[in-house]
Amino acid sequence: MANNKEKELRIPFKVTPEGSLGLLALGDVGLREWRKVRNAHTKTAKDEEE
Amino acid sequence: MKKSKVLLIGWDAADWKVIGPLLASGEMPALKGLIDKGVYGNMSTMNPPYSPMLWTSVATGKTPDKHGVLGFIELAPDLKGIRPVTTNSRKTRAIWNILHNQGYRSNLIGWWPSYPAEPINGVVISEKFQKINKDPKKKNPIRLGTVHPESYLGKVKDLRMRPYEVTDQHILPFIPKAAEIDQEKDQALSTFAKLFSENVSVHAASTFTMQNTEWDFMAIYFDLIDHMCHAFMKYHPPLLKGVPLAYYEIYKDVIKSTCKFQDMMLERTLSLVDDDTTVIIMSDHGYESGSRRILKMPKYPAAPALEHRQFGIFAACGPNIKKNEKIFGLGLIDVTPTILHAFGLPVGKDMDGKVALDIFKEPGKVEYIDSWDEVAGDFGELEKERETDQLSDNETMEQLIELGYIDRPEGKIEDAILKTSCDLKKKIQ
Repeated sequence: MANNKEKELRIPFKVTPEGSLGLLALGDVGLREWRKVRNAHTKTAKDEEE
Repeated sequence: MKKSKVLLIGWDAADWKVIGPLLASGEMPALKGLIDKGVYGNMSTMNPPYSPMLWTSVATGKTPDKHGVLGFIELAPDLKGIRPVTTNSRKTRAIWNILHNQGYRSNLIGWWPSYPAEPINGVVISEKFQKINKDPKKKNPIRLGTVHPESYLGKVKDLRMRPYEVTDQHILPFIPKAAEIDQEKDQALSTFAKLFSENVSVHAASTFTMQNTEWDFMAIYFDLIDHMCHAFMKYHPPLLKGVPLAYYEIYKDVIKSTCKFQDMMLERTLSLVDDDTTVIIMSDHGYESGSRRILKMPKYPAAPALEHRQFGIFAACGPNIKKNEKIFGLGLIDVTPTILHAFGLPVGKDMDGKVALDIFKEPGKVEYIDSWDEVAGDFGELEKERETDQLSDNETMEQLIELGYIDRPEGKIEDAILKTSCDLKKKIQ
């Protein structure tokens, strides 16, 4: 348990597969969330191609 | 005097001349908010303004002749090669070693140099962490000694952003006309992607660590502004004589956007600290942004440092920091004595810096000790030098060469070693 101010971070905008500066500025949470959305999108795109 | 946690954020090469107009126009709200509730001033650098040397002075309170980190490269311990400078060059204890000895927990993210990571109470994610090859076909293993404790690596290894993950959405706010760049002739986008992704990695590792560890002192170092300045400052307004208008139009927003993005990251970082945390933001030197910019850099090692300006930035806020005051006379070597004092610890008489008493609401009395280096006990130091990585650290070496900080070693390795040895001796004379 950290002794620092912890906040349940809600990403205040829509996460797109292309990402954004705002998302990366959120740090670990933003980077991971973006990759999740991007990877899901890539998978969907591949599925559609097949 | 109330004790508090301390967060030290390094923005290499941040300069009030560049940042000032952005603060005034509301484009760096996080830094503006910090200044409004704290103190600010110039940070005087030292010569030559080589960043690893300067940041080690920040971390030790000592001049380079005492701390031993004299430049960008060092001789390997077996004297059979050269390599990017490491923790091994430092011959005195850093603030985190002292805090370790005194029972405090420190986190260190991206500090230059902090590889190999020292075994302190806390987390060290050294400057090797974020280095990723631009070529997506190449693997990027995280070498031993990059992260301490080793077990922490599993928690953060996915937080490295790859240069080839950078998208249009990341590039366009910096370079709106990126589509006009002929990437066959102009490698600027590739340089941008590497610098950008490395600093995103540092930020991601730091926010994760802030939320998931206990800490008393935390230091985070970003080279984003410095490296972007070396690549793009010549295109920063006003138009510099000799710069082709077409290039100016493409790259003129990069420096401004870099500062704004640094501020966006700062906003998130500040959201993760308590009110009892003292926050310090500083740079090691400034950067020429006016008519003294150099379009054609002379061909000698470290020539790019010619564009470093004498004064960097300093800003701080916290429970015992004055409000709305400008501070004068600060130097890099004052930072460690000041932080030691903030923790109620004595300052080494062998430190060259002084406690910046002017920044405190309640300054208290400065206590002294002859030298922290003479104190016996556990300081979280490395037991022995790791085996050499001479010239095998191609990624870092290439980046230093690309930035113009070092020459590409050519010919016999013995010649490179002799040259490095002479350069280092010359610097301490």
